[in-house]
Amino acid sequence: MNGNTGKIINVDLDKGSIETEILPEEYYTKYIGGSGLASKLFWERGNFSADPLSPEAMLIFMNGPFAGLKLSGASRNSVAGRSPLTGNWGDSSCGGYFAPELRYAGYDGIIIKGKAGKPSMLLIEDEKINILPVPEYWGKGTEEVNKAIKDKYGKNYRTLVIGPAGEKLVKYAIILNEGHHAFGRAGFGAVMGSKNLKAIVVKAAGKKMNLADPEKYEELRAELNPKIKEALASDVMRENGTAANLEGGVVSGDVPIRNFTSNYWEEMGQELNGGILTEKYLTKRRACAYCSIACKRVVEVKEGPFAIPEGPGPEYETITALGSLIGSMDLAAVCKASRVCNDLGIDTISVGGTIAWAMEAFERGDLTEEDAGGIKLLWGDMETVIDKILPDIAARKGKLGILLSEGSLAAALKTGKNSVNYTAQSKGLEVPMHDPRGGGHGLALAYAVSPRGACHVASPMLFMEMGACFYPEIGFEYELEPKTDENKAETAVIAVALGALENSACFCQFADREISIPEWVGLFNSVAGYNWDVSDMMMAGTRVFYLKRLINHLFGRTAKDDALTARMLEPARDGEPEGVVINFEGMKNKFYKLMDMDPVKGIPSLKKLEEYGMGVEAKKVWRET
Amino acid sequence: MKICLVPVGIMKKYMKERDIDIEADLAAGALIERLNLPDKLKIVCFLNGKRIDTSGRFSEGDVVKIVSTFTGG
Repeated sequence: MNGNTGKIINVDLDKGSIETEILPEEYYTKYIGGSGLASKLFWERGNFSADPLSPEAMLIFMNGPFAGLKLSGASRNSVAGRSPLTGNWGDSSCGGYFAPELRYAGYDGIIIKGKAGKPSMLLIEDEKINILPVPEYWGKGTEEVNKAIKDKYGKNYRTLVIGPAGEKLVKYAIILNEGHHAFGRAGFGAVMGSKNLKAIVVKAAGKKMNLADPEKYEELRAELNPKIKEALASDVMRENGTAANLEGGVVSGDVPIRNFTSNYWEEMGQELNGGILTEKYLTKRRACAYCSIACKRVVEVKEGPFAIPEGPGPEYETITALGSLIGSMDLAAVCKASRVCNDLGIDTISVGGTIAWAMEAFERGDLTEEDAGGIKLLWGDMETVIDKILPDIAARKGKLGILLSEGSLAAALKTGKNSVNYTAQSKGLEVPMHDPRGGGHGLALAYAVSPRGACHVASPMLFMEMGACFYPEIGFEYELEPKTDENKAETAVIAVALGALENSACFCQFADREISIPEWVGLFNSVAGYNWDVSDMMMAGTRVFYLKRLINHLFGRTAKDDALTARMLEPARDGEPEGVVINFEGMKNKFYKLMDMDPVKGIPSLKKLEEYGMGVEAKKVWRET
Repeated sequence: MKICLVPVGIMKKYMKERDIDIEADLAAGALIERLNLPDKLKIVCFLNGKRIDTSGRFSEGDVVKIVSTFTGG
């Protein structure tokens, strides 16, 4: 097989067994890799009635075809399965250094089932694969465990580690690579924790790779790497990180404030942004493997109540979720809160969204001090967030810690008093830090129809609305007006296919904005030898999107679940988008028609599935009616 | 007539806050072109807190925020 290794590792922690397997080539040509290939494997082998935190649940790590091929932004990895946070299909992408090492060791992915009898670590050294007991790591933070593994085995052993939150099954626990890069969303740290699996470590002796057309690939790589490196957006992010233009986002109303109750806070925009982070706290810039953008931050807060030693710094999503969303404009506090979340192993977006909901519930009186175990939940009270709330969530300790460890939707359902209305989530996944009312109405549609729930990286809709990319070869060559519904459903049809391609190829959205459609096709063909044309490639993207929809259907999800809460659809209260209402249902209905999706079931028609070569899958979902 | 241009966020790297003289009927799109900034910045103008489209016009003494649509994630 070209490009991909074709080989995966099957681990059964119940039996302590490890087997390798060659996958059929058709799986790759139809579902590519990454989250797409993971969805195919879950569809074929997953237990749809299993609790995501039970031993029967599948945990899938999967590379894309470009892992380790020294192309900027192309060496990410996906984790996937049923999300414990949402109960739906879940996947999460991570940069860093795990994907190339796994590929060099000779594998595209790992499927893990069962539960180890004691805290364990999976160690992969080429053909030598072992499950090792690591009780000494249990209960420890990610930073300490990452360091302990590196000290014991060597710095080039690439690590995936969970924190105490994963061990305690916090529903939005993360998996951290190299102590810095996160599989952040959908709670797969808890799935690892439920399997008593503290870490996965990989080291390859050499670099085993086989490309379909190495000369053509090198030609493309030689063109694309400088193009990505020299792009204006790359330059901006290299200098000041992904939060470089947060202040601009505040002016346009894109940045959420105090649980999405406000779209404007000028002073905050001037304090919480990438430029200030660089000026005050940046010590180093870092990059994922082979990436020339280097948007990662290393920071140190030398003094004050939020002093932290040099280590991983916050990105845009974290600065906003642990800053403006919970009413703080203290960048030092955000740096510390981010570091605490990393070490405990908590998703900053979901925890920020959940705490923001709790702060509003407290302000409204829906959540009392007694309900919160004696904790006052006040906007911007970062001492309480850092010293009490985050540790209690990670430990699932105290009334508030237990309540918030389930995520905002579950916490609101338990609290009642219509507090679900002011959660900011879709399908149970907290909304990322771009408010569609200010950022772009198409994003509301993209959040709602995303199979994993509210997600800004399931498709490039955000970038398409802002005019950062155009794809004339597939019909996207028009400017969009962000704050209208005009052409948004049509754009979403293209965006969901592109997003599925990106997440199946395990490409970074910042890097691949510079890649044209013909270049995409050239990459797939030169690496994997698919002999695709543009249509074949786009069909593969849409097929992946459809399959994830079918998986959700088997979990009992319907068109009704493609929704946003009242909070996200109410008119913005201030700032640039004040008073503007999103025509959500109009966009959704049009998108469903264009995608030929059933307005009740929320899945593609039998005919459409057959058209996409999914006749077998179609029979499984349409035979019921 | 005179208006004041105020760069916001990453635009501070590309221009300084300054007063400029413009023709009374100059449209926002023409103003942006006149600034001669990289196309990739995708610049929009905000006046009194509201985004104005490329056909929007200005008045004497307006303070115009110059914003790039660039965002991180």
